[in-house]
Amino acid sequence: MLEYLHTMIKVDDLDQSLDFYCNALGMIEVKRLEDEEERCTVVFVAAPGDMASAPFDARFAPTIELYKYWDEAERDAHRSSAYGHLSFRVDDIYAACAALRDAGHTINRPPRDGFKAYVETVDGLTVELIQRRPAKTPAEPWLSLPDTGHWNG
Amino acid sequence: MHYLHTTIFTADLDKTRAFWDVLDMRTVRELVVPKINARAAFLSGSHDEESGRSERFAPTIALVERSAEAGPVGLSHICFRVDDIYATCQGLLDKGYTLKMPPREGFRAMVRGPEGAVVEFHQAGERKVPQEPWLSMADGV
Repeated sequence: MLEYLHTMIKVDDLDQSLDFYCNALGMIEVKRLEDEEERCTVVFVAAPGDMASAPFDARFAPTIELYKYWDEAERDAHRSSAYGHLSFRVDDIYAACAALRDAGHTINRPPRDGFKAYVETVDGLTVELIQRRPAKTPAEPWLSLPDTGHWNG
Repeated sequence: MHYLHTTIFTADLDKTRAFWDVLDMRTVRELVVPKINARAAFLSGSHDEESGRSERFAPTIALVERSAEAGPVGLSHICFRVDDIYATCQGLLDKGYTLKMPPREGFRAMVRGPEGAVVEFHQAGERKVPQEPWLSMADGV
């Protein structure tokens, strides 16, 4: 089963974007992460009409993910478009990635952690796949597959 | 207000849909966009299919086919369905935002977020009666 999770948008000024999405449009902040490892702040916002389904399984759907890089250089490197990826939750991330490979697509970021993968679509978009909890046990062939190409994480 | 769809322009609808088919996305509606005579397909994840086929019609991705000359392919905008499009747009104007496309027809409007993303609104249910100040409002940036 595949479920729309969120659309990721890269922001320059988180306060300014929150003013737009929450104060002006009436969306609601449902989750905030300060990610030391990725050096970013991530805020998920949901429309009021999606709040019944938004809080689910510690992930939220459907939402907008506002993504603020802490480092300007990193932000500049991703400035070509405001859009990042489209994220979907799957029941079996290994089966989803195997089906994509069988169809001739490259998994840019294989699910080495049994939880997350990125693949570029034929239109150059990045799709993020998230394993429905619990995460899978890390396994071959994914464990030894390196990253390749580029994606909008 | 709820998330309706994410619009993706593609130069080859069949090829793009073949990709999403692999991911178990289901076509829940197909149509031709009259104004631009473009084929469009709305796809829902298998988990969202029932909701996608319902009156809620969400969440979906909208694949819209257009030639490379007509504009770039890729993610175009994010669309929400709103209860009162005039109230939504007035709220944005009151906060100092400019409408990329005012709701002149009482049904659709677009605004650009501060980070550059384009957000579209669809009026829920029947379209509103076209009226001022929207009727004579020009497109913004």
